[in-house]
Amino acid sequence: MSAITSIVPSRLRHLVEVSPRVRGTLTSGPIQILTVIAVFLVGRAAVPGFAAPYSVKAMLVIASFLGIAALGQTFVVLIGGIDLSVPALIGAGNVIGARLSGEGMNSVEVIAVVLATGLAVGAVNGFVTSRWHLPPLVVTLATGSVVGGAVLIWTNATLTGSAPGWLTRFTSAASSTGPLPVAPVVVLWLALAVLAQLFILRSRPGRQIFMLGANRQAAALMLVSERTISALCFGLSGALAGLAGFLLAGFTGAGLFTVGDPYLFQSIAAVVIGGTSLLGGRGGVFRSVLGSLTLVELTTLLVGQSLSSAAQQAVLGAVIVCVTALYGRDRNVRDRI
Amino acid sequence: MINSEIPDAILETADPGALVPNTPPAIVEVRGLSKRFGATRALVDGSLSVAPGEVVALLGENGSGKSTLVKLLSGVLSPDDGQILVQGAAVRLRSPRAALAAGIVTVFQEILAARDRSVLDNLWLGHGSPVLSRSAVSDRRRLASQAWLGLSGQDVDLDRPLGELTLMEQQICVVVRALLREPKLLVLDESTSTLDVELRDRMFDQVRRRAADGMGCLFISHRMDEVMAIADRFVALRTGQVVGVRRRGEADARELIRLISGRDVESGARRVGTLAHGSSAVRLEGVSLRPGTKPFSATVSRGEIVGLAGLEGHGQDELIRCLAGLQVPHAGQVYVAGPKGRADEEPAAVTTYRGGVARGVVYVPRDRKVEGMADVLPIIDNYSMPTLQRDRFAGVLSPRRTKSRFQRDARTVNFTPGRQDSIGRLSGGNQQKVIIARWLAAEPRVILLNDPTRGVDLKTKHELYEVFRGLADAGAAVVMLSSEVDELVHLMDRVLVFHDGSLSAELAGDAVTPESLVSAYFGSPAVAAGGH
Repeated sequence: MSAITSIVPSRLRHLVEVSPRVRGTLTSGPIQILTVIAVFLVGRAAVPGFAAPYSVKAMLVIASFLGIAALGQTFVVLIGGIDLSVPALIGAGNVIGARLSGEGMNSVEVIAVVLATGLAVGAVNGFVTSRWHLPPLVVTLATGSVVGGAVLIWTNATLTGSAPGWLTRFTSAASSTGPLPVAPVVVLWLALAVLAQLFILRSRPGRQIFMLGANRQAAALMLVSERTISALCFGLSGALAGLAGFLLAGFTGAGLFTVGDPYLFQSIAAVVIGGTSLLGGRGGVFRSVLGSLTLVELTTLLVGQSLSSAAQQAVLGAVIVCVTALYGRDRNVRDRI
Repeated sequence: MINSEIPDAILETADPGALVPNTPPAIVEVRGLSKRFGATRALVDGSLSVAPGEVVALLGENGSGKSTLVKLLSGVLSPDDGQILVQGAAVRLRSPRAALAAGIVTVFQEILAARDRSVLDNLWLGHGSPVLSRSAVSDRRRLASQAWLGLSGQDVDLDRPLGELTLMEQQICVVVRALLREPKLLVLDESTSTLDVELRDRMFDQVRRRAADGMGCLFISHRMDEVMAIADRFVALRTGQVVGVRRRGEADARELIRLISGRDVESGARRVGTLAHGSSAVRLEGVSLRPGTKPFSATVSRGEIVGLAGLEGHGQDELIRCLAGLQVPHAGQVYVAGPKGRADEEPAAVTTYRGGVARGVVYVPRDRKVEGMADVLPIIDNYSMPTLQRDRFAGVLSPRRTKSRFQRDARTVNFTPGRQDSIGRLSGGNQQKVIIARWLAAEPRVILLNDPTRGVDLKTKHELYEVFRGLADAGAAVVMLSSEVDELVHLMDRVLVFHDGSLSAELAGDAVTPESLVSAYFGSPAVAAGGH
């Protein structure tokens, strides 16, 4: 890092310099990193072909859909909220994307429509919860229900549209990105994560997110606008959920609203397994990247063990409880050292 | 008041000089009661007795141990040491229910009632079986209406939800509830604060009537006139200790105030500072804090430290919040001089918190944990949050800029950053320094401090005083609410004392003494006049 900083003019050094805090965030969560590795090793031992290159690439693609939605969920959880409209917006992004593409609309315009829809619904979530101090649990469930209903009316609840050809390649586990042997969607996910990290660490609203999540009343006295930050976080969550839904169309080929359903549990689970506190104010976006990886590894492992989806659900639920307890301890242990 | 029909025993206790042996045992006697919370000794060796028919007033400032004693008597807290005797027999009051069963009924300062339930339900709340026969219900209705009529002189709709009643009627409800339990000892903890004079007198009549039947009463009020009107005996508490017992007629209000405030507190150490002659920074015009309170005007100049004082809830907290723009006065305006560099600009009214900050009015809240900081976040975030825009370069925050700003402002408040990262691990005094440093970054012209030394150790307290003095000397107007008499006496250039929601006294310079302050707290102008 010092090599880089030495060639950068001092006026711009802060752009590349890694402050102690950023370094702290990068290295924070050794447990999360170990968990990713440990689950991988267990999978390799238990499931034949688990560690094969194609299997790993496929897991990364699946993790990127989840990971993009979980990035958005992370913003909301950091302010102490929860976004239950994620599955509906993934479904909406999926259906709108496939349908408009199928009707021949330019992909750039399609993406713009998807992002705008998610952003708008999310911003409404954020505004309503902060303006009237309503529980996000209820508000996001309700807006999700409205979005879901509207999409189902529009599509008559059938498989609809088709994904553009480039999107299929973009999300295919067999694709590579330039010299990188992973699908472009994985690169997009990690790029978004880096941007998100930069945003929460190096922008004023980013820092305000933590203050709002840690202490709402104190934040107000420190000139943090709850309404603005709330609308921002829920808006980002909505937009990223829509984007994840659109990308999923490349994977599934056509638009179906119910593709979002598993993400209700998973997007929150990825954030929690990553170690971001549901109480708000503590956590980070890279943690959710690791959380998404862990969750996808676990699911693959359970599928490899031929567990039914009901049994998978039960096991994942138990894992969440254990992991939350573990990280709770992690914090205490760290504070004592 | 002395009536020939009252039995002799009552006469004896009601008359100060005539306590004879062979009086019946005290209804409640407290021997050597002690209670500590961590390092704080809330009550030390407290002893007290209330005879049948006697009204005893418990006097003391905030934090003198009154509330602790009341909580011990009502079973909310258990004593560390000492005994409580009810009619001569030692009892252990493990719960509020046990205290009620022993005949000690307390009306607490806060109105404890279920606002959504009817008046009738509230009056019998927690009394006897919840399942009643028809006749028992009608008995309860009859008794309740009688008791209500007896206390207030008015009828009440027993079926209305309590929440629809006025605050005063709710207060009546909790007093009537206590009377319906037929107490042996009635404890009234600030139960008159929302009553008007007429109702208060009716309540006193009721208490005296019950006392004539043998009830004892422990009466707590911050109002000297009430205490003088009803009590047979006065027990003064200071810093957890009983510092004096006087019978009616043995002491006047002035003497009692001396007892409460402690005459040994000398004002010799008073700061000899430059009395401010700066231009006015804050102007209050015709401000009335609550409906019906007397409007007042005041100014605060640059370079001076002005204290806001009074008993809890008498308006000083509302005033400092109005100054900060967190609340709007009931009537009148708060004006603040123009922002830095535009000092010649017309003063403008402060109506919002953000507007205040923009004009250089900054506020350090009372409750650090709740309003002042986010204890899980780093010190630097707690410092920089409201002024982060200064650290932006090409749209991106520079941690290095934040850090160098923090080092400068930390030096001003005499804070040495240590190894700790999160603000929650600092001592209370250091937390307060970080919070003050936060606002120094905003170049404040008016600094509002809401009881900033609460929970701060003595050494750091004096460091904070230096900081406040330094800020004032640098030209800021400092307004500081304080609940500590010593602090008011030693630090302030002037003190505005509040009573009943209005400015009751303005003391300046050497007129700020413990005695003048406390008498002004109790709204006793006769004594306060001596300070002017």
